[in-house]
Amino acid sequence: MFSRPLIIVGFAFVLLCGQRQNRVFWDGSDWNRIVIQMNQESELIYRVKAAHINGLLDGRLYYYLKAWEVDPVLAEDAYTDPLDLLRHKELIEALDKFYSDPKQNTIPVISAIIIANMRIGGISEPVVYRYIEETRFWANSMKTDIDSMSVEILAAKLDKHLSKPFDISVKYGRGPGYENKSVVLKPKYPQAVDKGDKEITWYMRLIQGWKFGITGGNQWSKSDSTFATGSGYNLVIKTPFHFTTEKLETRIRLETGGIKLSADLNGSQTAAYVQFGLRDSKIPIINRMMLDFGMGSTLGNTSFSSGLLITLRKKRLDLITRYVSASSTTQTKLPPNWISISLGFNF
Amino acid sequence: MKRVTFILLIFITYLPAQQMDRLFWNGSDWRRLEKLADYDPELTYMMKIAYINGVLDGRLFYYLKAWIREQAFADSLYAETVDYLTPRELVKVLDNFYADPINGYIPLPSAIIISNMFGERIPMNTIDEYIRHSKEWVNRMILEQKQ
Repeated sequence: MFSRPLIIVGFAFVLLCGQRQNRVFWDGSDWNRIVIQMNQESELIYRVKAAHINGLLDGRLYYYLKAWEVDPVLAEDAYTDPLDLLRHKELIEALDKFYSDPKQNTIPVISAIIIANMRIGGISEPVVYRYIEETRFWANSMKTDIDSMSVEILAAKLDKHLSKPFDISVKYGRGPGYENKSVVLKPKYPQAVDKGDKEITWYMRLIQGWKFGITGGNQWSKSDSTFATGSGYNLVIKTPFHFTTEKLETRIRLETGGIKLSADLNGSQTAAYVQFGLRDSKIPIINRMMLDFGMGSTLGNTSFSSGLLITLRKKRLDLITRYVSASSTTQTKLPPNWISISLGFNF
Repeated sequence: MKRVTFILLIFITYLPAQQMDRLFWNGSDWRRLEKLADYDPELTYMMKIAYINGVLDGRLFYYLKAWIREQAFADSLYAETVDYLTPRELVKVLDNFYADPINGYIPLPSAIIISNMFGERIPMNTIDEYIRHSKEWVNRMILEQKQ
């Protein structure tokens, strides 16, 4: 259903990227993009635009002077364009006005400067119009040429690269006696067994992926108009049975320990939990946020729980809130449900 | 009091004169960009990139114009490499280059060529020679402009 729009968007994106790469000069789209990049702050926009204009004028003057030293006649002929009739501020205003017409977006900035100076220099509008049209024509034809040439240039570069015996050791002066060493790049996934694994002892391999922690907290229950509080503690074992994607994570966690709901209601509890949620949360302070579902035994009775786990402090500290429901017998007199809030530390 | 006012007046008249003598942006302008951008690294970079793109566009535009008139002349005049480094690399190399105050008055268009020479690993004595030549050239140009 979505594949067709996706292809069109992807194609447009690739096309736009291609356009950007093959643009020769800064033009109207670059000029107008400065406003967006500078968050509409007029002072900053002015400075960036002024820097670009200074660069253009410096580039022109530098090579004019160089050319003039070699061949003054040719230099005077090639660099006759009027570029300095306007002050920077006036020039920026003139260019803003010029590029406010999207039709002029393909005109290079340097040509737009010439056009602005032609207008202020009293050149007639038909002549200026003809200059704009000629500029648009050569700028577009240059882009088209580069589009068709780029493949040839890449092919020529590859051919040149493959034809020469490229040896980095010679280029950087290590001399012909330098011994080339083959470098093996290790892939990240899947984790292959390599020589380094031989140094890991069997019990180290067994505990890889297992993690341990402790939790402690309080329980609150309200049933039959009585309000009871209690405490619990657990040893946490995070098993290696987990599944992760770039953003999500699923883990299985075992907890075993004690629980005390009242003076005569205490004993052991054990449960297995399945947790899934955000692996690396974008929310400040919170590193991980997961839903938590568990099943186990509390004082010998079957219990179920659901809750929320929030991890802080570089995934060291867990804040767990659970709603627990348990079956009860006449001997244990366990409340049917209670809320457990606990704090955990991961080793 | 009169003496202080007199010295201040000399400074005030001398400083704009210095500014007027400068033909191109150089190391002091390059370093001043940081201050102009209120020490915002992103904005400083944007301004530097805008300037570099300006120089390169100005160069290319007039290279093409010169090439239409006289190909051999244009090719010899614009023979230096200015696109070996990416703009980001170029900004970094220029920052390093102008960190040395002795390079302060080398024009930025020359410094762009020098930075690319560094990138291409051209022998240091050739680069030093080019730097010396650039200094002499810009001084000569300023003197000629004064005259």
